[in-house]
Amino acid sequence: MTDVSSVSANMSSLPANASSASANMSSVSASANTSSVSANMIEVSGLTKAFSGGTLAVGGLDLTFEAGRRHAVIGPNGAGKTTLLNLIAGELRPTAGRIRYNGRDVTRTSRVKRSRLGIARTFQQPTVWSTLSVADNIALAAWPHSKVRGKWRRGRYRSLSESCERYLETAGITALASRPAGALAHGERRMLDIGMALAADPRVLLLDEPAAGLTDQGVERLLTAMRALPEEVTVVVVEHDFAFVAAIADTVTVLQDGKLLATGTPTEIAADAAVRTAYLGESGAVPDAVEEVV
Amino acid sequence: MGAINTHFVPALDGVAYGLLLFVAAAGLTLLFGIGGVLNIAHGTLFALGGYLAASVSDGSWSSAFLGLAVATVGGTLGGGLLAAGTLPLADRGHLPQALLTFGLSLVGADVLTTVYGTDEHPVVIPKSVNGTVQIFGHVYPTYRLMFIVVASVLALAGTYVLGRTRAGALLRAAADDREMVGAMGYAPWRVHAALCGAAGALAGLAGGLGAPIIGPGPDTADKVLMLSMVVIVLGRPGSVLGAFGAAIAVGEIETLGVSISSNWAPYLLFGLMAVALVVRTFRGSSAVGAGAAAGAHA
Amino acid sequence: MRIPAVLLSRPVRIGVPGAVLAVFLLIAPSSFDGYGISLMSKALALGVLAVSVSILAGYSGLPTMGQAAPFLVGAYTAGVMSTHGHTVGVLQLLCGTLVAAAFAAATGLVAIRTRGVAFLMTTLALGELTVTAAGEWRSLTGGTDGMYGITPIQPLPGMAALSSDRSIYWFVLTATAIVIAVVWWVLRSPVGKLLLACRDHEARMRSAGHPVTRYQWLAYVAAGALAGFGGVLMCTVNAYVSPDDGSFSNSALVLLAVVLGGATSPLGALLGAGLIVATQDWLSGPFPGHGPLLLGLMFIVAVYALPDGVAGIRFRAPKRRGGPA
Repeated sequence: MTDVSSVSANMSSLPANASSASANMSSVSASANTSSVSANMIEVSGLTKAFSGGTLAVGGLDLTFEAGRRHAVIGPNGAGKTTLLNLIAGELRPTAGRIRYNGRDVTRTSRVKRSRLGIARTFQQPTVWSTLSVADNIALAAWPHSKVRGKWRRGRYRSLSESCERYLETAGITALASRPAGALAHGERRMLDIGMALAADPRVLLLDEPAAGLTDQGVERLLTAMRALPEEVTVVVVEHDFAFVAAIADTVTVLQDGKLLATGTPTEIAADAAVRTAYLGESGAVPDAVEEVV
Repeated sequence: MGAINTHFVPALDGVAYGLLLFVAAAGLTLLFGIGGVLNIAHGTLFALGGYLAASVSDGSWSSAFLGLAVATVGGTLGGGLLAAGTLPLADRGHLPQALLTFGLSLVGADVLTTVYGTDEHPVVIPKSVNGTVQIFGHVYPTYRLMFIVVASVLALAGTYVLGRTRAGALLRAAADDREMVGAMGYAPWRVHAALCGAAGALAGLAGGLGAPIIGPGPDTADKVLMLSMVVIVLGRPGSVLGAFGAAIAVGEIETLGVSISSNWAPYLLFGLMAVALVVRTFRGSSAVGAGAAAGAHA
Repeated sequence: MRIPAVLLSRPVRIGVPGAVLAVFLLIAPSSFDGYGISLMSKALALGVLAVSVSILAGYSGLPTMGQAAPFLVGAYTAGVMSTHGHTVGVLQLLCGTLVAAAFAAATGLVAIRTRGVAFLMTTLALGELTVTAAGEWRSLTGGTDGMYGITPIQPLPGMAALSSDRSIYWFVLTATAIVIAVVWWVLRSPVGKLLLACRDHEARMRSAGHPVTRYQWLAYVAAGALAGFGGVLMCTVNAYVSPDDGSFSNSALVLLAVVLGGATSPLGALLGAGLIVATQDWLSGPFPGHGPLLLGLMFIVAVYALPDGVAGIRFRAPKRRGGPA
């Protein structure tokens, strides 16, 4: 019941034009625990991040990521993609601008709290707890989001671990569950990182270059996992690899020098002249080759 | 007016004490801010300087200057020892270096008490400054007044060297980026040795100069180390002006504070440090506070 | 030269030293005189303090240099209770632990905010300030002279007072065994995993939604409580408390014990403390009155000769201040 009241409270704070759409959304996914209420899951306005030394990584971005869709952010190196992700996840504080999540201003919310609100992320360099087993890694990631009380007790922790098996399955690493995470190959570690993000039961999943450094086989596995993601989860992928992006994304956002260059479907973006010259034309083919080597 | 009159002398003492702490803490903050070495033996070097100055002092001006020279040289040598000891540990991070100085401080304290005994060693001040002067109708020891002048000159000179000279610019560069100094052609071990030596010299000099104020004794090392660390924590590592303000504040607490209410002075230092750390983290990186807030939320 | 895998397996690595220690602790008192027995009791009290340092320095990435402060608080709590006629040992342990926990809760709020070398410095300064404050608060603590002639305790209400070194030893041993068992049980539970995970990848923990600062603060409070427990035991053994109990060299001793015993091993910390106390005592025969010198030399040797032991103690990662990622 508390779920319903929080939904209505959120709805009342929405702009008028968004509420009809969101009403639809919530009726569609009302059965799911993670009911979306806002058409725009993530909304950034005037988002700016300047680093000490004066580099402007992100300069006045206005973007929206619609709920329940697959979004990709592409752009050449230094375009501000990862910075954008870090800003949304709360890893960095913006110099200016606002971030709204599910109709709520989270600009000054800590990353711990954002994670608890349902924003999960993966890392370019997957960080896992190498001395712990894969299953333990997943359980630790699920810990703050599980309603079970007294998780520090062995029995409760074990049942938490058991309830995490579905995430292992989605990430395709069930067979590795008892291996120490430090013994995993790069690709497996990446899948573990994704599994850990999923274990947070997120409403928004931010993936930071998930295909980087993966073999063809690894990319196949990643695509399978991404297609198996729950429908209602909003996904934002930062990537170099346009082929990968085209295979999974509903919308593509192109950044250049911290500014928005273009937004559209993968087909539109592939056809966009400005994007071709700025990104695909010069280096669009190169990243694929580079990714293979790295 | 009455209150001002009663507390004038302790307040002036506080300035002297604070200046002494500033000079003493300068060496510690130099090594800590630039070299990343927390020198727990710093107080021991201060005590060494004090003992050396006291042992040569006989009341003449020449012995006073000799004492300062010997104290400075002794501190420098101690710093050299420190450099030799910590250098092999450099690529193992800051913690082993700090642990080593921890061990050195224990050894140093033992050696000092073995050589000099457990009594306080008073310094014989030159006769011409051993009297008193009148300031605004208050009797005040001439030596302390002279100390205030000398320490102020030292503090100004240090600030000038750090802020306006090439060596100072190099030091500031090293604090930001140690690699860069290496790239400029200065061998890292030389930078390290110079830093340790300079820090030791400052500690020894402070010990010699301050011997009539914080006399060399078995508790000197711990006391000076503790107060210097409070000064650095209060005054934001690496900031000369911050350290100066903090040193004066701590000096006032240790003199004026004690003269008003001797029981509360340590708690006042405690509280001051707590406030400084809490305020600073809120102002600086907000993530710690934010993490705590999120914890409360859960 | 390869060590057979059996010898490195967990049961052997922990079981054998544990069994040897247990047998020694149970048998040794019968062959020691009063001095030797009370030395063993002191080693146990310091061992509890060393375990508290291992929780912080080993498990939490908080290498404290001021853990003798809550130890001192615990010792004074016991001393003050005794002078007011509360001589029940269990009650003293309880109160000393609680007061030290409260003390750590307050100082932890300050100390946890700093990282790296600044944390060393802050904990050291807090420790020294505590010693100074204990010396100044004469009405309660008896000043720098300390409190002496503390009434012997009764372990439980209605029991006889502990009059001999031997009976005190058994009390201290029992209390230590119970508290170490509890610590071991907690650290082996998911709590230990949580602490190690925070130490190793703090940023990842935060991203996963763990309130890392709160965990580390709780670890700080728990370690403070444990140190207070050790302090009560120390007061029981010595029948004397002075600011010296919180001194620099006690903090150094237990830090060294953790280096020797392996940062994440409570049993190792206990053994390390015992080893140092024994070495100090053994060498104080030929070199009387040079305890600090010996401790310092051991420290210096350990830093060079045991890089792995030292490496077990580490800082938390520096806070990321932003920068192009």
